[in-house]
Amino acid sequence: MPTPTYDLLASTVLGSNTATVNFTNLGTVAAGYRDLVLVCMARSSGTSSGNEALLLDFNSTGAFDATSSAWDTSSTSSQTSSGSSKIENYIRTSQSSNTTPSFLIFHIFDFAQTNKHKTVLRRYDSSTYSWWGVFRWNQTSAITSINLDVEGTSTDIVAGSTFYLYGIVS
Amino acid sequence: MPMTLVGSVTVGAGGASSLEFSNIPATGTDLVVLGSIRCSSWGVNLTLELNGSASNFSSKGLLYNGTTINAYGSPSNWVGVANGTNRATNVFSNIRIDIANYATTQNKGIQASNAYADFQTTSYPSFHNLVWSNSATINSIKLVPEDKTWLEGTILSVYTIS
Repeated sequence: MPTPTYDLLASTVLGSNTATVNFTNLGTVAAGYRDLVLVCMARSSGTSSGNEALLLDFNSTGAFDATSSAWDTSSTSSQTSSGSSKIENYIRTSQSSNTTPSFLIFHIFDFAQTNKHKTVLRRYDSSTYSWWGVFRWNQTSAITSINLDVEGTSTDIVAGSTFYLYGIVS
Repeated sequence: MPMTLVGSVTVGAGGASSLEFSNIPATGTDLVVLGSIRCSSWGVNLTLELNGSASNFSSKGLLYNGTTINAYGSPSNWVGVANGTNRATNVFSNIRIDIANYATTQNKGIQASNAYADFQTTSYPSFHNLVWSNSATINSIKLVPEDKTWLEGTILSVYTIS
């Protein structure tokens, strides 16, 4: 039997509204893997707008350079940024009784290498736009935690949202 | 095994009018469809049917045609473009479709990536993000090449990820 190379390392399925989701101790949980893939289906409890930022960081430190592109059903746009401490992802909210979550995939390359900055490919959809982006985390230290939280102080990630972390063997 | 093959089909010399996978087990978390594809015509829009239906989809598609990037909202179940008999027989397009939480009662998120190999040195990439507004578990997947047929050498495989 071939050696499995795409393994589920950890998962979180929210049983109640929660402000943050964290994957920690990755040096142990993901030992022996080269890349990480984080697959999320998430929605915010907010109701004041159609989308809300779900923020992602590594090790609660460092900064990201980013290039991303967005499109809706008729137009496209692109943007770059530098120095942000988190990756912003605008997910669907609960406005107008919406129950559809946003679908996000992050591919994190060489997460445990200590001789390079880390790169991320990300793709997701919101209620208004689809997005893809590339990111550089400006730290050579290994990624030991992945942290997600919604931007609003009075909103949460709703129950039923799912987060699956997979490891890819080199 | 985290990534499990549900089924795979290779189109033979006679071609095939449709490619559909049924009786998909509800034991996984996500579905992944991978394909190397070619049709009886070129520039064929590929659409997705789930559980035998082309309804309840919404989408945002992005296509780069070698000169400009354009965004589209229809067809609402559009997932890519295939090339065909206008090009050499060894030129195929490829496609990947990810469907999250396919066995839950939530509406389903879908991401499709496609490279339409048209000219000898050019491949047009497209990205599609879709929502299937249906709470049913997905038990069948069909990839439809408009009113065209799939040609010999086309391979389509469906996997569950758990």
